[in-house]
Amino acid sequence: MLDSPATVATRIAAAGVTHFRGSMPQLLVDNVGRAFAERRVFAGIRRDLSVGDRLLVRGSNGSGKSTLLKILAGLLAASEGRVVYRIDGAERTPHEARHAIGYLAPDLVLYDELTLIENLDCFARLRRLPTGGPNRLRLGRVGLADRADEPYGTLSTGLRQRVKLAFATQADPAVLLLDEPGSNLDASGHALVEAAVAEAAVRGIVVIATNDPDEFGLGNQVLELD
Amino acid sequence: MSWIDGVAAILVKDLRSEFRGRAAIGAVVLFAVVTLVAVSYSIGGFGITPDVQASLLWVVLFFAAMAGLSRAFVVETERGTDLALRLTAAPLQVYLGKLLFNLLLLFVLDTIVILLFQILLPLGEARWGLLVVALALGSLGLAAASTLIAAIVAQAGVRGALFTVLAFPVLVPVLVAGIGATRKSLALEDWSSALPEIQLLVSYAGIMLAVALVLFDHVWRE
Repeated sequence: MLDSPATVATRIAAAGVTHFRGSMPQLLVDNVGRAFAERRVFAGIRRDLSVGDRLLVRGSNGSGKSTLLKILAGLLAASEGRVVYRIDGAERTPHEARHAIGYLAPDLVLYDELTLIENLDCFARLRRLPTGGPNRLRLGRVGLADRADEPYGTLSTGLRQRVKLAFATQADPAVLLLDEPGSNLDASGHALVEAAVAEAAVRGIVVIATNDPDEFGLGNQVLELD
Repeated sequence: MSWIDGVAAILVKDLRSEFRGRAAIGAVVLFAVVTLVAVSYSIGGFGITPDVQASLLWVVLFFAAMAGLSRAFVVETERGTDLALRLTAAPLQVYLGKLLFNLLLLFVLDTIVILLFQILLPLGEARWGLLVVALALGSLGLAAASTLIAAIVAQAGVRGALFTVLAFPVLVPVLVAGIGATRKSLALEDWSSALPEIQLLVSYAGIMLAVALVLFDHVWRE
């Protein structure tokens, strides 16, 4: 069920654009734009997202879907405007909120020469999470328990996408950013993505960039970038 | 799980990758062996002075290091794995993890080069303590500066030659002081005579570490 534009506009107005409400995870996208050299990709994007919001970002190739998600993840700076997270009652930049953000994208690459569990354990240590057992359980949830000790580089692209989903959801993030989450996945893989989105929306915010009609049902709000 | 544990995670990850791929150590050791064999062959049976020995030792160390130290960042960028690090690690954790990896690589290189020198161009008697201190401090300075420069170069399109071109002028003080201290150790001079070089190496390493700690956040995130 999509929220109407009027509802979204009311939320932004209520937020005053510059201040958050409540203590639950919130994401404020305040007049964000991005240009590469002379070419403006998008401009003036405003959203105020809170727990349960699942924003679907749609648009043609080159409209800036992936760029917007990179800005939300703190991987790219906005040319104009700002992105602010409220996590645990404090306002944070995307970089400061990185441990509360899960990110999955086609250009996310893990280490070929490390096993699946070594990959997840490495990032668990960086995220100050427990290593070992919990990560094996997480690999089990994406159907890869029996391949935990195999090198990541030996997996097919579909199975790699599953590991990347495990990476993105490793910290049970307050904000889950998914760029083309269903690419290369089979039917059971798509079900894993749906489950991950549903679970993440219970505790936080989900933003999904996709042009796959099968994934349009994952969102409850839409942002068209064309 | 502490902040330092994140630094260790990056170091362990790099050591595992190196052990399984041998990208850096292979380039470094191969360069050292080829250079030393070529030099020893051309010098033949002629005796060489401590001045020349010290210079040769540091030339081999410097260019072998140039062949390997940039790998830590360039490989991450070329393969696209830097994205996962940007998402999960603090910039300083990345710098320190890579610095420790490069430092270990240089210590291995120092050991191999000294052993090869003893076989191909025997150093004879030396103040070994002074030599070890000069190599250790020189390696720290090399690693501190090279790790930062490698991170800058990794963001650029033209990487291969750019690293050495950028690194050489920055690393000249290490070369000058390292060669000076090494020459004095090979000439059996007193520790006190090498104090200016040791002070320069300590200062250089300290300044480079401080500069890297301040600048790396901008280099990594821009």
